[in-house]
Amino acid sequence: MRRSVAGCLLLLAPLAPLAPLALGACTTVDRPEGVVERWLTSINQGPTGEPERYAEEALSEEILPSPREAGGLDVIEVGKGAEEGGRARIPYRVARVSGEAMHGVAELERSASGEWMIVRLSPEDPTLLVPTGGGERIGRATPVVWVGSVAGGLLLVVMVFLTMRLVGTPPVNSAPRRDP
Amino acid sequence: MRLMEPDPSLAERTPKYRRKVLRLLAAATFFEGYDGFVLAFVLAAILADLGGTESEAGAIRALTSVGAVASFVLAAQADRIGRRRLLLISIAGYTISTALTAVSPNLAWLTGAQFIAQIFLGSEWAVAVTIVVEEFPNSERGRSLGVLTSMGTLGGIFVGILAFAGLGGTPLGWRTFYLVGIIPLILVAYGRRTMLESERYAALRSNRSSLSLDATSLWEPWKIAFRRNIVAVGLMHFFRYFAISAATFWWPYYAQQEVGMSLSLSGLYLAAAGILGAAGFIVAGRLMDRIGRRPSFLLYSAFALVFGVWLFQIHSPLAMLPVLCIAIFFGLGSGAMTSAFSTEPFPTYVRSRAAAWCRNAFEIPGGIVGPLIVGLLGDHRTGLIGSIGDAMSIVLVVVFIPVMFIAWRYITETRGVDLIRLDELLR
Repeated sequence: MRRSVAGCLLLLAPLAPLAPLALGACTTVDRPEGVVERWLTSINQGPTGEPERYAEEALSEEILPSPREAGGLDVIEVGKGAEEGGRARIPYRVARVSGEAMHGVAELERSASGEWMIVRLSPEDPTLLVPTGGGERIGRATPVVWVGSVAGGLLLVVMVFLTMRLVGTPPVNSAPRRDP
Repeated sequence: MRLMEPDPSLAERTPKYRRKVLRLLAAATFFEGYDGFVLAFVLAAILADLGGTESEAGAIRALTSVGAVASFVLAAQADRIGRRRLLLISIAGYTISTALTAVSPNLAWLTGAQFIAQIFLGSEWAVAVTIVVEEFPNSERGRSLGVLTSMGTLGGIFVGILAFAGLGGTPLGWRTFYLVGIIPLILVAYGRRTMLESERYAALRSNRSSLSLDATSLWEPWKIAFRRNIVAVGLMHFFRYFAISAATFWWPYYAQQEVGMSLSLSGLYLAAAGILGAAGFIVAGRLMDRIGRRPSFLLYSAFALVFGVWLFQIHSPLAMLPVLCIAIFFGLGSGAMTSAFSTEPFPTYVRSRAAAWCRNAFEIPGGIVGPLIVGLLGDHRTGLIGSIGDAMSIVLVVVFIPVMFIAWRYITETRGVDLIRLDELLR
């Protein structure tokens, strides 16, 4: 039993450096850009979508009128917006499968519960563009994260090295024997 | 281990027979890839027909992935019941499960059928690789593995081709895709008549001195003689598939949501790159025989890392296609080498269980965790990085460094290894 437990711990050791990745993955951030993207994706899901979680139906109707079929939007794109004092302005671009394209800015406010809600759709703003129009992407890794990724890989190498040392090398003639 | 009657067919392994076996295995693996890809492709149509939410879709995916892990137990039985028998059982099993999926009246039934299908699909892959390793001579083993491992990708692409041809528009809708998956039953009928037990396994079982070898214990590959190889190959499988699975899962999302490509264009790119990617397996197989498994794998991994990171940093649809093709060529193509690593270093009596450990116990969990981590890091609303592209590039760097380290330092080179001599070391 002790050997089994030790064996399992031995095997899990090289996976330990993945823990920071997993912990980082659990960090909470709340980007309004993500809310706009989920809203547009919900619209695009047709009857099974729930866009009313993010905006009133009248706003969703502007993007894709009812009755909505799944896949009614061929393109959904959201860019990095501007946020100030509980309000945000987020650029978006959609294209319906009919070919009609729409550009605009979604305006959001924090509701009483603290959730971002889309309250208004405004015309396109040249200072807030989607990435294909020259604007910034919603999120990106900082240089520190890139350097950290190499360090993380090297840490995994060290853990693998230590694990393999603990596993050791099989002695000569350690193969199971069979009867002569 | 029980004694078998000496196999009179041991002398009948002609090149013609081996080609026939490879065709049978290739066809079986083609449908393994087909069946494995259909669910992801038609899930939206299934939810619309049977009713369901996105969270239920996620649960279906998770449960069926557990089936792939559970296939470990079945895959390991090839050492006990024989490769041929397990192959035929696996083909029959996944075909029947596919037929059950086609007649699903509700999501619970469908999930259960697909869970069972994954068990048989996983074992088919493992035993097919083992058969190729044991039937083909040293000089041809690599290229044969290359052919076999390419078929899974081609089977997946075939789903897209059928969808493009309008299969989803038939009166039966998504169910038609699963009805196509019944075709492998023909392979079972053919295999039963023409296929022999693998040469190495038949030779082992007809040898009286094999009686004392343990052909049943799932822990046999963890004995001191094999443990180092199991740990090294297993960890390499885990890290590699952590990244590969995440990349294949997230690329369509990245292309559509972060690059702004349309659904149809991203589908076209994936089909084109997938076909080229299948060639990556073929080239890998030939390269393995020419320069060795380890150098080939290191080469493929280095290119997979470079082009994989680059792929998820590109924001121009035009530049995307060639980089996608090269990334898939090297990223997926290295699967030919990993299938050799998990089988060739081990003697025949334990080979199937060793392969099951490497694939089902290490690789598949890596494939489950990888996409999850990238999704959490790259989530546009709550992720620490907030970009699937950057999250995927970061993950590629983190895990491919240890992949290459393990291959360089700990993986045994098996080009030219004589499997008969390997078995004779058990003295």
